[in-house]
Amino acid sequence: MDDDTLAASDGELIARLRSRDRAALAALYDRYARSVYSLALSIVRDRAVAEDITQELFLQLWQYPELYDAERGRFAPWFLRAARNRAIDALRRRQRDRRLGERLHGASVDERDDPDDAAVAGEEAARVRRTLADLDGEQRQVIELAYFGGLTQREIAEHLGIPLGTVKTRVRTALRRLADALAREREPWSDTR
Amino acid sequence: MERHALSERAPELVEYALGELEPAEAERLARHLETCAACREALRRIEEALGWLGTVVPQHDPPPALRARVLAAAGGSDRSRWRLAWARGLLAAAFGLLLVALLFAVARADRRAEELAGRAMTAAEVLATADWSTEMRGEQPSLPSVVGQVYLEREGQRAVVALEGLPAPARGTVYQLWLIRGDGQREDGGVFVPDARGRALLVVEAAAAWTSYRGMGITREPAPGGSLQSTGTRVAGCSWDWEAWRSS
Ligand SMILES: [Zn+2]
Repeated sequence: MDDDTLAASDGELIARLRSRDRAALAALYDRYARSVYSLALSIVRDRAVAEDITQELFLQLWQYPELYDAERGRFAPWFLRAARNRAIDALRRRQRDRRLGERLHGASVDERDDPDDAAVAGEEAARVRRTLADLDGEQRQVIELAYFGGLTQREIAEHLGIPLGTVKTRVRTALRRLADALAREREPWSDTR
Repeated sequence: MERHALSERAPELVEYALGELEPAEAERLARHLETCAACREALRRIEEALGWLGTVVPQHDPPPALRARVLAAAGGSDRSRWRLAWARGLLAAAFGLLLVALLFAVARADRRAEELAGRAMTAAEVLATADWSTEMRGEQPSLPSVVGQVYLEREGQRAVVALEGLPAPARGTVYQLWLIRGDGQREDGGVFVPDARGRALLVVEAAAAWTSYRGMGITREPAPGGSLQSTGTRVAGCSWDWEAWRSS
């Protein structure tokens, strides 16, 4: 792979996908396949399914690069969100007939703070990891059930035996803290002002 | 523009980002997002946080063969590339919300939530079965050279046209899409107005299989209904040649 491709920004590589540049796809694969595969694997817990999801996502990106809209944010979190949604979808399909309880394995969050092992090198991943570790147990539990278990807030409320409003408040608080940690300037979307 | 405290919308934005809103609620929120920069920014930040959250799991390398499989599948010929079975339903599953947001850009007098949700599904279906695609090219100096992409199934009658970079039409006019038959006759493909950022996603229904057409054109026509025959300036278009394509 040439130096231009290695040095290209995500946005430049996406633009090159539109002109059917396979080297750009290879570069994006090398940057993100590990993160996407690991995220899918931690949700579906099945290597074959995680591989299928990874393949589908990259081929979809290849076919429809215009689905990524730079105005809606950076590529990495967008792509990871797509991976999460695909994995949750697969999980729900596979477990439709099983009891809800089996979806409640929660997250397999990596507790280690080892930058060498981080999914996407960078400040953001480290900040999210630190913030998640700082959340109180109740907030962390609901965000993990929603994000990695694919439970709706209503399902979480039923499972935990707590009011739906409480679940919503905890999810919102957890997300706000993550968003604030990621923001360069502290421009909260919070309701505290 | 409606002004409000962000806290009023925060619960809804979180549910939107988690994909928990009903289609009608999602459409209503999408409508609000069009006009509210504060909520758009809040949603962007929530979505970004949800995205980065995906990095906290233990990391594993995918098998090396997967890379080869992905690149081989992407390297297939144009003919087979669009027919991969896996594409079916994929967009509907992973990008349903995005499609709803994009479809919201299609401003029509008869726009209703159910129709919009229905059209999102149709768009996903068409994209999944599409086996051919071409660029829609700007034909005015003020437009980018490429203003969008057309996806269609050659033996089918539906297409998705994704447009971007179109300026708002002058007051009293709309854009109209024309389907150009093999004999040069033009058929009405519908009218539209792009969103504030110049985007529109159209689901087009042709009267016959695409093999009997040779292109599309976009003109400016009087609002709200457009014209029975194209009268305005042609601003963009695309054409194809199935014979040349078949013999290639
Ligand atoms: Zn708002």
